[in-house]
Amino acid sequence: MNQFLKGISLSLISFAALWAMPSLNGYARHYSGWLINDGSQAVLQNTLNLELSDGNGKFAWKANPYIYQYNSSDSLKIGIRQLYLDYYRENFDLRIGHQQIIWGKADGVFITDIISPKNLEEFLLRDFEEIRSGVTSAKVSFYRGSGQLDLVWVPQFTATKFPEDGSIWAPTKPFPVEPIIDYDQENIAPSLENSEIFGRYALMSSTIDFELIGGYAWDDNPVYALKSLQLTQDGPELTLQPRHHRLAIGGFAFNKPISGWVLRGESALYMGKRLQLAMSPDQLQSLVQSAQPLPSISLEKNYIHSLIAFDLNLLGIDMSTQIIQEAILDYDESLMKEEYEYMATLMLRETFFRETLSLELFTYIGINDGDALLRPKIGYDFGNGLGFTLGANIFTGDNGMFGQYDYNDMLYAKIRADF
Amino acid sequence: MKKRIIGLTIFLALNLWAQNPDGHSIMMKVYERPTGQTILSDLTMSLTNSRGDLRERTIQQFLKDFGDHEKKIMFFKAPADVRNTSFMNWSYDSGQDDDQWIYLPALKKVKRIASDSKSDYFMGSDFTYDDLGERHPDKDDHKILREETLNGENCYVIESRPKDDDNMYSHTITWIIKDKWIGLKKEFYDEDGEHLKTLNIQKYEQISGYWVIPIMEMHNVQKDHRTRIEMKNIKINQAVDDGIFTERMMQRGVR
Repeated sequence: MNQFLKGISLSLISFAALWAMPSLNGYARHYSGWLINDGSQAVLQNTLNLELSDGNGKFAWKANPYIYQYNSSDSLKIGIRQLYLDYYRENFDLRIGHQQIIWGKADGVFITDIISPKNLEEFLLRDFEEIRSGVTSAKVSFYRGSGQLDLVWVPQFTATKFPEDGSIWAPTKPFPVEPIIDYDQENIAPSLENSEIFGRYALMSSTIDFELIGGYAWDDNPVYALKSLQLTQDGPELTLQPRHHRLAIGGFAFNKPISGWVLRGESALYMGKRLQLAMSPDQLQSLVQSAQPLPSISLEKNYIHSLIAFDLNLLGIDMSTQIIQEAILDYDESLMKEEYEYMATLMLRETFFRETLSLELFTYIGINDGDALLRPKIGYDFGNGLGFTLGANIFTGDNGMFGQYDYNDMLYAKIRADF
Repeated sequence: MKKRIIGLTIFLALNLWAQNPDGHSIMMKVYERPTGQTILSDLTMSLTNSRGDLRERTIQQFLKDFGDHEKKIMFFKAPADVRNTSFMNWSYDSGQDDDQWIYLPALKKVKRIASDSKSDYFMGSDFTYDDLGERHPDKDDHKILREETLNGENCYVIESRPKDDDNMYSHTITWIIKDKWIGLKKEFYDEDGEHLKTLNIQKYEQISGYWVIPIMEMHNVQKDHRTRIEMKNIKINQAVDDGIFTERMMQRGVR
């Protein structure tokens, strides 16, 4: 089905491209980054991002191929971020193909934004449009007044993309010994039974904007299952299999203007989410010595992910603060995650010299672990689409989502030309 | 007899006003000058700094008057780094805060933005959001300073002082063309009473029976930079579907 949808959209777009001269836009970007710790160059990347599109009042298509060149010319990554066909009617739109679908009101946090999986090969440091992967899907949207109903069918599941082993962004694996990872069970075969469905109703009004969302999906993030455990000369050898699990999701998001401020909120209940159990060295040792069948090392729980946020402009500075809570219902003490985990984000932005120079700070703060990621940057707009950015990624803390990268503090420079 | 006296009083009052209109009435005439229910235009905003460096932004704009409120949507066409960005504003006669949204194609998301910063400059230009909107005359006290001829037009020169304390301008002086009720020139004075900016109308013409201003320039005299706005392809009272002022169109754009 996935191939069928891809095939249809590709054929139609090829046909359209033959009789119409598409518009061509995009950008070329150079990106260099240096680790503050040892001064080594951690990133040397050139990117060409193209957007070809054309259409009329009824049909439109878009193709978004990209090329990344890493470190030297011998390492190229070529791909298609989006490739889709649109069909417009007065009160509904249909989009078929590989597409990014972004829902929710949160910034840099993913709560009801559950369709397009994430590409975390460079943790959360890529530009937003590069973090979100496209999904091959069919989306139909119905419109009435300022409201819209979206229905999405995803015939093939796409998982979150994590950094490869050896990457400076590879996350710490939370097990007493370095496990062997067997990826045999990670892929979900495309079939009707394995497809995902999502729905959203969104309304824009003067009083409030809100979204109601629901879905039956695969968890983009896998949990590990124990495949084998044996004692070797070097100690216990742990082989794990990452596996994705089904879950149902329901949630809402809103924003409301209040006297020049904007109050934002978002919450989702994940029903049947699998969560990893904690494993201490002693537990591992007793597992090795016991003759019992291999136990499950995850538990199924209901889980709520919520956010409350305020946006305002104070003395010309755009400010945004978000408080995020993750809560596990019917909590079990043996889980690796805490029952309640909190995070905050803070964004400050100011422009100078008629918006040619911009200063920005985006900060993630992990409240439970006392860690943080600070992302200050300074940008200069030369005009005509040419821009330069100088920034830093500063990780603080010893543990947690951000503290684990404490040695990856980085300075970077980007120059980008849009055309 | 009583009716005759009332009628005579009204006639004399109107006659007196025609000869000696007050500042508020003149500004109301400008505010109430018919502009059409819908306006479509392609807008070029040229920003020049004190060194003469030029930056241009092009925008396609749709505006519709719904009686007690007005909706405006702008689609950015150039430069390339802002292409496909859109901005929507709903403003209300009641004085309630404007509703504003922006669609950023990199985020693929429509964001609501805080709108109490009417004194913020629009897209790096010399126009604030307030300058680009229609300020209700009731928000200011108006006084006729004099009558004089400017660019061959007989004008009233009106001084307007805001009633609220937190306005970014201490006062403005506007040259209003008699009979046409168009502001031909406007000087803006900062909170210290120093001359900050001058708006000059460089072209005005009638389109479909309505007076419109296709070219104007704002000159910041303190920093010596300028913003020129030129509107082309102006269409007035052309049918504009209400559905254009929605999240759907902000994301999709117009072709």
